[in-house]
Amino acid sequence: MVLLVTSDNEQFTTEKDIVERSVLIKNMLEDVGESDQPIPLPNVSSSVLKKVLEYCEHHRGEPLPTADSEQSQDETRKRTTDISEWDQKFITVDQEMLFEIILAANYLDIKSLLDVGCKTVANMIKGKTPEEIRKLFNIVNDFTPEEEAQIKKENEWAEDR
Amino acid sequence: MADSLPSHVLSNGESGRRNSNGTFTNHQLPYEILQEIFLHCRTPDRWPSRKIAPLLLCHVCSRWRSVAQSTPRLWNKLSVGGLGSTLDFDKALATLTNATDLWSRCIGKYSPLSYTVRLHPEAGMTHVRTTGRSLPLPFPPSIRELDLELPDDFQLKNYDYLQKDPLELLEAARISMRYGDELDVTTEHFPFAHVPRLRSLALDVPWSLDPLEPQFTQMPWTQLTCL
Repeated sequence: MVLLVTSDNEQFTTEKDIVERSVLIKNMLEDVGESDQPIPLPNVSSSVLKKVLEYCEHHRGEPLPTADSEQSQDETRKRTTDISEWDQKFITVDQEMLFEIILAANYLDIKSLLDVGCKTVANMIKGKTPEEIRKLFNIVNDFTPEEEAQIKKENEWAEDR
Repeated sequence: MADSLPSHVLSNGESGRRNSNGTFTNHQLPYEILQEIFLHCRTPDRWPSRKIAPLLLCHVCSRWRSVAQSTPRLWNKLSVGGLGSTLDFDKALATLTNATDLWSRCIGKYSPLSYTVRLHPEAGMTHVRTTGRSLPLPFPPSIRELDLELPDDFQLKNYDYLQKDPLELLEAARISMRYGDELDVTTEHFPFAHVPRLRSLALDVPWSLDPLEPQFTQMPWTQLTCL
């Protein structure tokens, strides 16, 4: 069993093969060997770690993506925004939690979870206008006059399809 | 998915949360995650449309524009024209020229680009014949795949700059110019002598010449695995 301590000092005890979906934790465990020492996760809160562990538990035993498979996936342009049914349900959270999960997946180095989060955000972006995207993510239109001029030009020649 | 606005992670910081020092908290997605999200926004055919990535992303805010324009893989495919297009020829050409310019700036020097141009009367274009039109090419050393369907008044000439910036990455090319006796022009002027990686070549042009004529000598016959 592995003991994890979150940023808000909550302790989670979990099985090694679940938590080893995180490359960061896997490497840490390999470095320290057998130990009862808790692993501090100062960048992850308890509410987020709970979600992350739920994901890891569901996907335990599945092969971890390798750098090669990622590269070939991209090169053959098979990158899609398809998300499995379970993952879709899992990631149906409010925006703040969604971004916290993405940040945690990035920090813990859980590539498949990072992908699910990024695909979800991409799906939220697709099909919207720039104004709708700004509204959705609370983004301020901060273009300089020069950038505004370039965008105006791009809107003139870019196809409207 | 809630569409409410509790978070500012994707924001440019203008409305983000501030700490007591007045600086923004570390609550923006890191640059590389934003890049990853943007890559998932790609569509199979990268038309230069303001409604889809990458242009759509460039029109949201300064940060997004900057991240999008410095993510070469977002710009690794450019397709203009094609079946079903209702554009007139000159508008398509203007789009092509402007898109080529933008894509050239964003693709980066060593990122492979797939470049498809289908400006063909059969592709639904209103076509007024003129002479001396030349095809704009994005940064040539980046092009890995080239798929050209052009009317015969388009000229594959005047590419002297390709001697300086040769098509070093080009692996596959398809050139179709069906309306004219253009094989000699294509073979004579296209810089086949400077494409060391070219393996697949498809020429869909009238074949009325003797393949042993001198203009074919610079063709890279020996390196091709598919003709």
